[in-house]
Amino acid sequence: MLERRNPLSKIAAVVPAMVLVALATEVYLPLALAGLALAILLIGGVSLRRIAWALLPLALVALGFLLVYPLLVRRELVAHTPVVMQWGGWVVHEGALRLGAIATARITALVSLSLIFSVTTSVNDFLLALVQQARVPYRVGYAAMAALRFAPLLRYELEQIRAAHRVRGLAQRGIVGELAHVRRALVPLLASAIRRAERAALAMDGRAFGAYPQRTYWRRVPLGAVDVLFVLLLWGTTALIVLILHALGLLGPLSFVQRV
Amino acid sequence: MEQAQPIKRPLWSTRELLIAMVIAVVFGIVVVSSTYLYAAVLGLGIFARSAATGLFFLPAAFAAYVLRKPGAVLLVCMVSGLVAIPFTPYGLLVVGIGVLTGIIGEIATLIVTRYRSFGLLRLLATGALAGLIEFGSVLASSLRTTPLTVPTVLLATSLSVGAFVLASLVAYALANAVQRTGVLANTALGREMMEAQ
Repeated sequence: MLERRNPLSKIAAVVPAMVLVALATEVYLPLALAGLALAILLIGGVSLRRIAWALLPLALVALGFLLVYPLLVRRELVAHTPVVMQWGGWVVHEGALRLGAIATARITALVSLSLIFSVTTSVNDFLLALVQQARVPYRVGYAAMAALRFAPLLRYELEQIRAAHRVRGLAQRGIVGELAHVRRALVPLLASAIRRAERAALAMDGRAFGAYPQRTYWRRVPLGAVDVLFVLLLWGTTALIVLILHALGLLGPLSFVQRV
Repeated sequence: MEQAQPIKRPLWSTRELLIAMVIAVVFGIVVVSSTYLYAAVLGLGIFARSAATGLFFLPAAFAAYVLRKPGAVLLVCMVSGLVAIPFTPYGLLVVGIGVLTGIIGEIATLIVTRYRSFGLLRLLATGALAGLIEFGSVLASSLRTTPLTVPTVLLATSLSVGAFVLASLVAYALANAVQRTGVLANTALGREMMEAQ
């Protein structure tokens, strides 16, 4: 269901929720919106496995946030709240834990909301929608699509360059080795990619790419009534969540400034 | 379809468009890991974020120096964000970061170079200006929790500016190295080098 929605409508649908998350100063709103995003994904026919895989890296990030944030928070903001933990010079206040929880909830919500777009949309469809509905010049859109086709080839080439370096005895282990490898590989990789790009450009020019101000499309990415309905439904649900939380007194102020 | 009109030469040739796009794709692939880095350092507050945003400017500086066209920075930043979507935990947000960095970089390039002279000093100045503006956005998003004392802000500013200047310097060295392979002969940089010889 979600796969067939217009990519632009998916962006329009989640942007208000993302802005609200950015302004939230309590955990409840981000958590509720993250829940909404997951519900939409499940209703939209994305398998639980797929969602779990997409959220796995997020879980690590969130864990890091939860652990690191309370230690780095602005001391004077939370100094008036009771001390929860003390270990040598490190003092963890209750307010700091709360701020860490809020930051974690916000990042979780932002990523979950963006999954509605990123898990269910191919980059090609997105580019087509940009050309067909958002009036991006088709030469730009099609050039991007052509270049994106190179991505798997270039990744393969990166492996080849790595192998070539290893044969010559240049392989190193660890993060330093990895960085050295990237540094050595960038120039040949860029040179070969640019050579490919020039060849593709000549081939496209040879087929009169860009000769007409308009072009025909083999594949259309329509923007229909269902898409508009989808956007309105998501906006409505978001507004409903805000209203319910407000009625329950759990909304908290919406602002860029955090108070404890 | 109607008869093809004799059209004006477009601002961007197909070759330049595709070169810009593959630059974005290559850096998108290589710099993908940096979005994980970004994710990891987000929690570490304003300093780490100031330093990490410089990485996003690397492809933009490279494209600006090689192609010298209005729009190159924005285009490359957006496309490298698009490439990174499937590989990062951030999804759509990466494109957002790309667009933001692209707009900032484009403004800085316009102000400093006017798309005419691209010497090393001007390139570094572009990076410094972009880093300064970008820092404003990092600052705006860190207001909640970071102690905004004068030394903190100064240190974070210089980190951000430093990271962007470093990105410009790396892009400059990299572009010159690629230029020596001969593949850039048909770009603005290649033509300039040819004339200089």
